[in-house]
Amino acid sequence: MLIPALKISVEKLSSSYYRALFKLLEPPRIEPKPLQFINIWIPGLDEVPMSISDYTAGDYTLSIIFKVVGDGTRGLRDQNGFFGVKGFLGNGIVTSGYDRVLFIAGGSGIAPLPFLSRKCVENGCIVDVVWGVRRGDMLFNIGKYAVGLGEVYYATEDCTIGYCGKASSLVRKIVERNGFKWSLVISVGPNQMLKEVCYTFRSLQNSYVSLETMVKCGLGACGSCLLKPLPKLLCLDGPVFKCSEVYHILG
Amino acid sequence: MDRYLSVVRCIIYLANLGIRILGLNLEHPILNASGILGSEPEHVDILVKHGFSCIVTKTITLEPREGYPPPILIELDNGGYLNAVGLANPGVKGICSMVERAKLLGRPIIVSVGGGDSREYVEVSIKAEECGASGVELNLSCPHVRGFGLELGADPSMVYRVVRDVVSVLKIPVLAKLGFSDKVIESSGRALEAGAAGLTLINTIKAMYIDVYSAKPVLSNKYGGLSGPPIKPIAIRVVYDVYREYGALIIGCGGVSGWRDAAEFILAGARAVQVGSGFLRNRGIVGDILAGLRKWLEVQGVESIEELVGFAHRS
Repeated sequence: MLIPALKISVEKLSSSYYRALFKLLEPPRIEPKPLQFINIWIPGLDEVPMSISDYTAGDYTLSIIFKVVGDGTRGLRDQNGFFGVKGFLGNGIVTSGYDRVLFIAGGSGIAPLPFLSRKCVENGCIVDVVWGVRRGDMLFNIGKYAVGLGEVYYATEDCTIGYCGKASSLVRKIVERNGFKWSLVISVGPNQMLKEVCYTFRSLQNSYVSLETMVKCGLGACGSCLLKPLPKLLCLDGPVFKCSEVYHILG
Repeated sequence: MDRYLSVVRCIIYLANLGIRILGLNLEHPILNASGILGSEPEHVDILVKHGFSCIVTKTITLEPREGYPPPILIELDNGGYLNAVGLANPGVKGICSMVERAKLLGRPIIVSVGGGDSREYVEVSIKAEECGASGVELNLSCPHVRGFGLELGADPSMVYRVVRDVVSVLKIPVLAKLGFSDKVIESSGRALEAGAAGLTLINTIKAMYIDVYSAKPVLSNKYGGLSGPPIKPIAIRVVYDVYREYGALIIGCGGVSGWRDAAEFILAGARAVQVGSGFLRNRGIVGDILAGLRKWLEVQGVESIEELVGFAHRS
């Protein structure tokens, strides 16, 4: 079902990222889960998959955090008025039963954090964050949008803010120094980062990654989001997978 | 003893749903409809895992096609789906790997064949046969790609020509998949006359969905093919009419979302049933349909589902 959505605002968060806020004009059939995604229709332009960045059940507001990479995302930034939301898609993750969660993001992988931490707070858990980007000017204060965060670490490859290097290296250093206190680890970002994080947490059973690939129909029909050579579709079986399920396809 | 009896009962029930089409002994009559996955070997894995007795590929053209940009598929609030994928497919080079995978998994596979002209249908069909496909299904009715189907399927003499050209060079059986048109009965007759081993009825129906807020058609192609429950009564009517007219092998397709729908198609004259949209909404649909059909056979007091094919026509 295509849920009509009215764009309320768009703001520039940093040199690279934007945040757009929508109001859903019809209630969705079910509540979303953290790390589920939507396909958002930009009328007359495109339909693109986007992580649910945040969602408020009371007033049906939904936000996305995105980078402008083509016509579709340019439309998300520049076009006003009505859009269409297909979703909520994918499996997502349930945070109940965990007391402390580590969320590791590479680049725009930070997008789903606000809704994850919102649900985590509801379930009485805390989310620690490691966020890595290429340049310091890509960062923004994620604490402004995500409630109830614990420790927040930044890593930049241009060494301007926080740890000098990649998020996966920072995570490895933190673990080597202090061991780990998390019962759930979730990583979102480039495959190489996911692979390294999965390796660091190879002894942890609840270590998950959220994958990205081309998504077209989003409903399990076209098969564009096949995670070759696995017989799995990202749009139905993912985007969240246990590290052990997908480690060998991460490059 | 109880366990032994339940195993025997299970075997009997499986046997009850077995059906023979196109020279193939299928475990049961539920196939996937073309267009649901079916363009990669891993798609075949998924379809087999979900229980389809015979795999039907996505429509394959000679050259690869990227298809349309998104949106290509939307779920409608009337229970239907509207799609305009644009015949995205890997071209003939993708056929053999899918056929090999199906064979490895012990399932027959039918290659859905598309074409802009008779020559393309022939060339793709030959490749399918060379790869070892169990049969081909000529998509003579794609409603959303200009020059690839619908106009052709609605022209009985063109249907005759394409089917004849393909049948004349193939040893494996040929199915003609036709869509809803005023001439579907005539086109069905011409396809059979040209040597088609059977018919797949019906394809999606050309339709449109306009978003009332942005006031724009949603699909990038504007037009798409309507599938799902809204088209089922139309499909049942077509199967009924064509079976009455020709008594031919028919694979029913259009809006099957449960066992009753499958049963209805069988009573109308279909020997097998394809499921497309129903699989999008319920990944466990094959098991659900089979369980329902087994109970239905029991209640009807018949031993084999074959006995009920076309049963709605009895006087």
